[in-house]
Amino acid sequence: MRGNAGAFHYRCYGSTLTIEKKKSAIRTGSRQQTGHAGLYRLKMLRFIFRRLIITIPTILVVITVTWGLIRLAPGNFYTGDKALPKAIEQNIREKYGLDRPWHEQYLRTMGQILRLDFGTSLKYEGKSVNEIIARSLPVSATVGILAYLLALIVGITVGSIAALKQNSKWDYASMTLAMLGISIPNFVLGPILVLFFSLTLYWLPPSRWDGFPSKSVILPVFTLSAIYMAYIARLTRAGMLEVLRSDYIRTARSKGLSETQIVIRHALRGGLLPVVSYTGPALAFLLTGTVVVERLFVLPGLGNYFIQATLNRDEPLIVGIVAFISMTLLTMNLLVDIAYGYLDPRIRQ
Amino acid sequence: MGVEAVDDYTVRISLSESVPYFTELVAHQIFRLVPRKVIEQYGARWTDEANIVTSGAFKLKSWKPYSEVVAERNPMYWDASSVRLDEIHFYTSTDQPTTMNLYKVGSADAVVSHSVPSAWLDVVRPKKDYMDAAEAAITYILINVTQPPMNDLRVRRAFNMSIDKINYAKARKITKPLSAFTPEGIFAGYSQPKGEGYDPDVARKLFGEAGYPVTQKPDGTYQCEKFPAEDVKFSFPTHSSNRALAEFMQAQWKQNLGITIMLSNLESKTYLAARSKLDYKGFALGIWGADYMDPTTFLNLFRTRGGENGSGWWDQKYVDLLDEANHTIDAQKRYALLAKAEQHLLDAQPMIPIETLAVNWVKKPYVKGLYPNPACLFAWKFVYIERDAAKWDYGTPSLTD
Repeated sequence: MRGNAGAFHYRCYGSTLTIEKKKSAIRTGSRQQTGHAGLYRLKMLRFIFRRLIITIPTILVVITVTWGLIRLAPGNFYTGDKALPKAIEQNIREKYGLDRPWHEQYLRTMGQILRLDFGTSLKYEGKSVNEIIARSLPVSATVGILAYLLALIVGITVGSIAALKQNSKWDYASMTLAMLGISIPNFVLGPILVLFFSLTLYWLPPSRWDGFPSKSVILPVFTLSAIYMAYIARLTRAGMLEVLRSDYIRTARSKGLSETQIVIRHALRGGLLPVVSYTGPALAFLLTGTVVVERLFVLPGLGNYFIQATLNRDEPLIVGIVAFISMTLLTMNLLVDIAYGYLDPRIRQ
Repeated sequence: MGVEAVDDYTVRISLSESVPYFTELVAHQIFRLVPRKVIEQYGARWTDEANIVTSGAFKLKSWKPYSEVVAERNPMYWDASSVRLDEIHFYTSTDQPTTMNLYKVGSADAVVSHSVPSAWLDVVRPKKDYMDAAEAAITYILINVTQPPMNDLRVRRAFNMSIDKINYAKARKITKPLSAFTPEGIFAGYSQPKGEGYDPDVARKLFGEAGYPVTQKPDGTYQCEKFPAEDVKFSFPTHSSNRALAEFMQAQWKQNLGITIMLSNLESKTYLAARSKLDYKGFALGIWGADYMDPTTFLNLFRTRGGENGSGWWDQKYVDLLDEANHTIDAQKRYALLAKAEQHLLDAQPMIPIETLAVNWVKKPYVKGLYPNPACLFAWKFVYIERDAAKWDYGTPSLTD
C-alpha cells in the first residue's frame, strides 16, 4: 500500500480506498482476508472461473461473426483487375477448400483456431499467420506501451500542476492544450507533426519503422498518445481538485505537513482514482495496435496488417488477427477485473 | 506452347502460332523461370529468404510483408560483374504523400512509377528530380450495354461526345486525351484508329434521335426530361482521383446533355466483383495497364464475354478480326488488322476512352541509370549511385534545395 504515486496505478487505487473509507472499511477488509484466507481464495477462483466461462464463448462468437462477414463480403482474395479463367478459379477454390460446404470450412477454421494455428496467409503464400502476428505485435506493443507511459507521465504531471495552480495561467494553458488534444483527431495531428518535424525541420523521419529505440518511434508515439495524455490530464485535474477540497487534506495541512508531502502522499493518490479506471481498458487498446496511427506512419503493426488483410480478403489473416486481438482484449479485461477484485472488496462479494 | 529445359543453362520455348511480341511478353513476371527442385522440396515456403533460388541480377535477402523487401546482388548471375548496386531496399507505401515525404527527407533515393500527387505537380515538375513518360495504360469508362437506355448505340455515342477529354487531360496535367482504346503513342508503327471527339451539338442530336430530346432553357442551360437518369449510375472504386474523374464526367453530362448521373463508389474488391458480373447500372470506371507491349493486351479485354470485359458487349466479328491479325506473320499487316478490329470496337462503343496515363516520379540527382518508361519496368542491374557530385544530374534545383 505504500507505492509512490508514479508507480503502478492499482496500488494507488488501493491506497485511495484507505483514505476514502477513513481506514475502517479496508481494515475490515484486510481482517477478512487474514481471517478467512481460504474462503477468499475460493471466492476469487470462482470469480476467475466464472469470467473464463464467459470469455471463451465470447471469443468463439467474435470469430464466427468475423468468419461469416468475410464470406458475405463481395470479392475474393484472388479477385483482381484480371478475371481468372474458370478452370484456374476452380483449382484455387479446391486448393484452399473453398469448394467444400460452408460448415466443413467453418469447422476446419475453428479446429485450427482451437489448436492456436491460424493457418497461412492467402495473399502472401508461405507466410503463416502466426509468423505475421509474431512479427507485427512487437511493433504495435512497443508503440502502444510507450504511448501509454507518455500519456500517464505527462497527463498526470500536467493535470496535477493545473489543479494545484487552479485558475492560474498554467491551469488555463494546460487545459487549453488538453482540450486541443482531445478535439484534434490523430489523423490530423499526425500529418501536422510530420509537416513540422520531418518536412520543415528534418529532425524526425516522416514514416516507417526502424525498430526501438530509434527516432522513428517519436512521432507515432506522440500522435497516438496525445488524446490519452489530454484525457488523463483533465481527469487528474478534476480528481485532484475534488480531493484538495476534502477534509483529510485540510487535516493534513493543519497537522503541518509540507505541501509536497500533502500532494504526493495524499492528494495525488485520491485524485488518480478516475484515471485508474480509464487507463486499464486503454492499455489493452493501445497494445493491440491502432489502425490510424499505423496507417499514417506506415508501421508494420497489427492494425496495418489487419486493414491490408481485409482489403485483400485474406481470410486466415483476418480471422487470426481478430482472434488474437479479442483474446488479448478479453484477457486484459479479465486481468483488470481480477485486480479490481483484489483491490476493492465490494466487487469480490 | 511448349517449354523444355534443354540443359542447365538453356530453355527452349516452342510456340503454336506466330507471336511477334513474344520477347516483350516474357518480360512479364509470369514468365520468370522457377526452380522445380526447390519448389518440390519446400512447397509454399519456397519463397522464404532461405529457400528461394532466382536467376536475376539480384536475389531476395529479406521480405517483411507490408513493410520492406531487400534485394542483394546475386553472385551467381551470369553478368554479375556489371551489376553496380550491392543492395536495394524496396519499401511498401500506402499513399502518394507518405511516399513523397520519405523521398523529401532523404529516406528514399527514388520513388518510381506513380509517386507524385497531382497537387504537388506544379511544384515538383520544374525540379531536376522529376521524370515522366507516357504509360502503356489507359483510363476508360465501361458501359453496361445489356440494359436500357445504354443498350442504344446512339445514347452511348452521345455520352462519349459530350465529354471534353482535352480539358480533362489539362486538369490532370500529365495525361493525354484518348479517343481510341489503345494508349496513344506507345506502340511504334501501329496506326491507331480515331474515335469520335468532343461534339456536344451532335451528342444532343443523337439523344433526340434516341427519344430523349434535349431542350435549351431560357438561361442557356440544357435539360432532358425524358431521359431515365435513375437507370444510370457511375460506379467507381473508392479513391480520391477516381472521384475527381467521376465528378468531371458528371459535370460534363449535366452541362451538355442536361442530365444528372448519380455517382456510386465501392470498396475496390466489391467493385471488381460487381463489375465483372455486370452488376452495375450505366457506367463503371476502368483502368488498364499493358501486360506486354502490344495492342492486343488492350484489345483482348473484349475478346471474352465475362470477367474483365465488364460491358456485356461481345461480337464474333471482333474476335475473328483479332484472330485473323494474330495469324498474320507480317508485322505491318498484323497491325493494320488489329487497327481494323479496334475501329470495330470503337464503332460499337461499349466503353468511353478517356486518357492515356503517364508515369511520373522523382529520383535524386545521384541516382543514375533509372529511366521512366511506358511499362514501368526497371533494369536494376544498370542502376548505380554516382559518388562524384560533378557527374550528377544538372538543371533546376532539386526538390530538397
